[in-house]
Amino acid sequence: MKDLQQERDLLISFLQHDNAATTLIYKENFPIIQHLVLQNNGDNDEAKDIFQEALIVLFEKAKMPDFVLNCKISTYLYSVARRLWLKKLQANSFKTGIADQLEETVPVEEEMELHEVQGKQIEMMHDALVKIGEPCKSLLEAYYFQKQQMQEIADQFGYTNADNAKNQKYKCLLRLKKLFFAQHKNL
Amino acid sequence: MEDILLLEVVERFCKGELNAEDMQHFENLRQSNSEIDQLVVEHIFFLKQLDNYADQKQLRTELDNIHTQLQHNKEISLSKEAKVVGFFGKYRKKLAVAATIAALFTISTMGILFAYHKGKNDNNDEYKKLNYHVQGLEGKVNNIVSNIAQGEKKAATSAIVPSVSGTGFVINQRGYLLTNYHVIDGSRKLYVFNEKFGDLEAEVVKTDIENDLAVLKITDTSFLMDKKIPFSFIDHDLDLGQRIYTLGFPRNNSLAYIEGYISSKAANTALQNKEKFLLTLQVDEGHSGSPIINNNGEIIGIIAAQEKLENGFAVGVKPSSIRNLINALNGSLDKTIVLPSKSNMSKYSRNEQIRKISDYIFMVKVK
Repeated sequence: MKDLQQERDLLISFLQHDNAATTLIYKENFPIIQHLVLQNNGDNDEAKDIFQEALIVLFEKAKMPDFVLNCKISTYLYSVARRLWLKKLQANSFKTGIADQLEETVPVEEEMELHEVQGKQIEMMHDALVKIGEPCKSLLEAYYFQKQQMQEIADQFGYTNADNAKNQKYKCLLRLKKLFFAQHKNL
Repeated sequence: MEDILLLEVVERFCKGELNAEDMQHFENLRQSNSEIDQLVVEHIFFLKQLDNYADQKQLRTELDNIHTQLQHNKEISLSKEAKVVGFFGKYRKKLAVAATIAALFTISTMGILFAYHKGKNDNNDEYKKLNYHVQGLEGKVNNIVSNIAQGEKKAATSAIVPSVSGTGFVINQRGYLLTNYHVIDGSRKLYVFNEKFGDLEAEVVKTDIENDLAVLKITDTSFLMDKKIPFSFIDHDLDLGQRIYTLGFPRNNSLAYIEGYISSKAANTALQNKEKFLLTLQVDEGHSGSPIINNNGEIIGIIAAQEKLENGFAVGVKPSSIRNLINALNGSLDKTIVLPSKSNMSKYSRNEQIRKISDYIFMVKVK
């Protein structure tokens, strides 16, 4: 299965944030999902949202160490997007199902569950980051997201030395952790 | 303060930044102190969530950028209409198969076998054919059924409702037209139509499957073209960026005008077909077989297909292939076809050119 190997290689590049790979996947699959959504009571914005959500589901799932891609990326994305859109339609209490079933699909139950759990975590992290406020948010983002060095951060944020910046970073991290886990307790 | 020191150690432990001695020391601490152990587990989880969050945030930004970029390059389209068209291109084969199955099912009860349908020339994945399917699945089946009921005889004077349509244009006064092979592929009955001549019966006289060309001959005895063809064919090298326009019959019975330019001398590297070139032209279904006309009113090719998944691009076939096909056809004709090589269209404005050319453009209707 040479084709499947190519799909897997493409997926690996996608996971590494390779822009060319992501663009290729985007270009080839967006029209299919767009059609699915447009034909089933959706508009272009919703098509974009659903498609990007499906890409994120693929991204999350494929990052799992035990994940093996056993179908074409497009089949996977279509299956996920179809489920996501069906869910959205049901949430909006549309009684209509999805009309077209010309594309092949694969089961994506696990993905949907994982996505829901992950989605909640992401939301809680987002809320926690909003709540800690500045400069904590930017400081943590610089260190954990942009992977900047402590000295760079010190210069950028105006700390006299890297140690002070690091100390501040830990204070912020401690607060973020508390806010994050507090939300878990509220569940 | 102690919390912070502890957090630092935990984090460095999680990230593998502790030296061997400290590592061992900390491992022992974890063993003996369940609270510390819990803290480590919690922190690993937390860092993972933070990482996921960062990763997803980055991905979302990337996706938005790609979306904007693709939209800007017109590689994805947000027009609803265009996508519906895209669907038919993509699923044409499947729909055709479904139609054939449905037709077989209906007809077999009458004891008539009718199976042959499209599909032969559909294996070219790169391009979307542009012949227009007037109706969907139901329409096709109904057509087939009603044709059988009426013994396939319909008056050519009435408005013919085709199952597939494209465009064709006159290349010889005696009633020879050029169109795409995929427009007429699998056809049983052909009509051509325009405002001046109405519906006329026609037949296929020569095809070139590789270059997607077909020559039709109007067989209707009422057909008489008294005026000389005003345009000519030219074989000059194509110029990138050269402005072109076309006239065709997308969707309904009225002629439509669109303009664009030559964007690449090669349609697709994978095809390695030097007879095809790429146009930036907002073609639609039904434009298949339309002439590609330059500013001087000269024909520099024929539209064959739309670039797959990319709206706004069309594939043209060069006149050299058309000449080859005509030469091949001439071998079997008593009176040979000579493609018009002289025109005086360049002195006319675009509007006047269009008015003069319009009568020579036909809608090709396939039943």
